[in-house]
Amino acid sequence: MNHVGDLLSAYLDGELTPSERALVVDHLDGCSECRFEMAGVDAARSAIRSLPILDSPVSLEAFAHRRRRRLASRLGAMAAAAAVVAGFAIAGSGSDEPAPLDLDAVVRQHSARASVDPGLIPINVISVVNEP
Amino acid sequence: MRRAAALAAATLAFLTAGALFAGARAEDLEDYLERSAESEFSGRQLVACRLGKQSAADIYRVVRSGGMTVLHRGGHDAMVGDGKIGDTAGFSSFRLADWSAWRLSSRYQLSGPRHTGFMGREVTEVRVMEGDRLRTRLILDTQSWAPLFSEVYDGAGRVYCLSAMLEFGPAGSFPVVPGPPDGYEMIPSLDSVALPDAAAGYWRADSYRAPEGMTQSFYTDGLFSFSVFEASGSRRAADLEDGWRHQVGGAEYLRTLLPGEVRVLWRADGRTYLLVGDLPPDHLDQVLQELPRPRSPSLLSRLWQRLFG
Repeated sequence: MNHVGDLLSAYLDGELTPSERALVVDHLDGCSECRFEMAGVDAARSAIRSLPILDSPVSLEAFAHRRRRRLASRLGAMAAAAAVVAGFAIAGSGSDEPAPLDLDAVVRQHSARASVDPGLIPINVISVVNEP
Repeated sequence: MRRAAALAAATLAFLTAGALFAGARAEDLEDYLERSAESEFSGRQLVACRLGKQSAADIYRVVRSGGMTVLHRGGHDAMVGDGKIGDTAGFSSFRLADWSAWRLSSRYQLSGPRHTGFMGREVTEVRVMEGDRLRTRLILDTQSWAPLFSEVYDGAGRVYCLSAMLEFGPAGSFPVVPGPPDGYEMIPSLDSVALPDAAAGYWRADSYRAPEGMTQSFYTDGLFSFSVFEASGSRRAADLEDGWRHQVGGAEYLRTLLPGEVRVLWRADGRTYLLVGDLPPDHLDQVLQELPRPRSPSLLSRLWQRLFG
């Protein structure tokens, strides 16, 4: 199971997209480990909020920036992987949005030609009124 | 010496008589088919087909007169014959510029005929053999040569398609013949197409420009026929995408069955192919193996298919 620990902080900060939020909520619903972790994060954040506000050192800002970049890069990698899998699946099925084909117009031309020969007429010309 | 000459003469006479007899029988089969095609009648006809677990059946009103066949179904009249087609459903009317002369494959032989009764009429039963296999049984009205009943058998000897006249009368007794269309668009023939000249005993008789940017190659063996429509790129026929998956030699096609007709769609080498015809299933599978073949579905495609249908 892939836990959502890296997303919890952003979740609590309201920085996730709706789909990411839904992902986290769905996961928390079934994962006691992450719920416990989030409770810890939330408690820590509450404790931190109760502390007096100080100017944050630059190194901490850099750490937070790196953390956000790592989170973004992980989400990007996940999206890229999903795109690659979807791309393979679509390429594998050979359907790159094919143009529609009007069968009725095409099939009538077969009936016109088949009607010229004896064969098993009229069986072989009934396609002119067949509807798939 | 005289005895040897007499024996040789008798053998020659026997062989000649045999050849003449065989030739007469082959001509008879062609005659029966041509007479049947030229017959004039009207009626209500049931057509039913079965292919694997798929089946299709319907009832049509039919009038044949003056070389044209008019079919009526569900408020829709269509008139076809002599390379022309027109209807009351708003489709364009067109005629083919030219076509090759008809001939019958030598793989078919006539068995019978047998004179009997059917629907209270005198009829002639004609059996068409392909080798030692019964391929088609026709019951023709002896007076008009109209086809009152027909069966087409698959390679295992099961009925693939049948047609039965439920009502029968002279031409013109059904008031369903629409007037001829005002004008016909001329469809020119094509000199060359990429498809093979022959496939599984069928020969490519003619090729034409076709609607939807396609080309049409018409194949026949004189008894059954099919057209292969071909277009560059990937084309999608919604009616067939929901059809049956037809497997032949490890390749997968999309197939649908209609009364008297099978349609098969596939893609190969960046092109889309649509086969439409009345050929029996064992012939169909042989033909598909001699036409451009679709690639086998990839592992991911099969997985996708299994997961999402």
